[in-house]
Amino acid sequence: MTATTAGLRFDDVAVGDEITPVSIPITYKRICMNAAATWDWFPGHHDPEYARSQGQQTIYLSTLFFHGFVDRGLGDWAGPDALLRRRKISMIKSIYPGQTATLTGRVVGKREVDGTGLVDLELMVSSEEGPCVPSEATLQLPTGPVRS
Amino acid sequence: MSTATTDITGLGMAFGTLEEGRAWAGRTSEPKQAWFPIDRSMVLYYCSLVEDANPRYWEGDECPPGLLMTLGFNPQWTPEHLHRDDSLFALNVPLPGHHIINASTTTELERRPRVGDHVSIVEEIVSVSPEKTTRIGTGVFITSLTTYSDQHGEVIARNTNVLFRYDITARDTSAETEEQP
Repeated sequence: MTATTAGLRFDDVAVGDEITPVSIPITYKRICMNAAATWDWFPGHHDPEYARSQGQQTIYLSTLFFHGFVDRGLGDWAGPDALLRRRKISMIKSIYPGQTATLTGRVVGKREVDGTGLVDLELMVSSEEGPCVPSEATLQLPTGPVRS
Repeated sequence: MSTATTDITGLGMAFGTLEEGRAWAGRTSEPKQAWFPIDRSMVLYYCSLVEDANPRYWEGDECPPGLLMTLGFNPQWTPEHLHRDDSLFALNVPLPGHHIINASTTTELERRPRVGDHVSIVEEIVSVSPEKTTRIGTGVFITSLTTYSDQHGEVIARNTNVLFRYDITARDTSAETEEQP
């Protein structure tokens, strides 16, 4: 199977469909990777003493981790031909080492705009402490007959 | 709220009064070009971080859109003659708060970013909220709009970021809010 036929097409998706949940364990190593891979050296993401001084338990995942994690979950579900058009994330609770980040979500709308098929989703990144990053996304999915 | 102006984040934050900070609404940065074009090692390290197996990244020449904000960060050290004083524009807003935490981002994409894109960045301070008290402290929400364009002037994406700039205060839960502007 090639990358151009592996994923969901617009007609495959219905309002109410749930994405395949994705979980990833969060360790000190992954949060260090977070800083190094994204160049985000704000000390809350690598210096536990600073993180505690700003009211956090210890170092925590950054915005750029959540961008990538949400997009990865959408890609795992919809396939590599899905094109992200819009993504909103709101960080209401931090995620720390020792916790697990889990992405869930569902389709809340479908629309065709200028010949493109757009799918709107509501998403949530949670930890064992509950909801952490409520999110929204709009994906453009392939329309029309499957190419051979 | 403290009036000390020590940047304990090391990010080059500017300090000033609430009034001085709120007057920054509407200001736009000079365009700045990312330190170097998007390269494959950046892409694959980022995919490793979130365990993203998308073949467009591992076997193609595309870049995860989540990595765009990285292009606005400067190296942590440079030789003096190469130093650039153009860190994130939102941190230049003069305000009293010593801490920051990001509240939300909204990213709208015109096309997929690709390896080789040498991105230019323009940042606009859209608004600086009145002072608010949340569960983590008292400060203001800075909303900024960042436009990412390639070396040909084509817009790749626009990102609206809401950053909370605050100081930790004695907790008075009656005044707390989770709202953002």
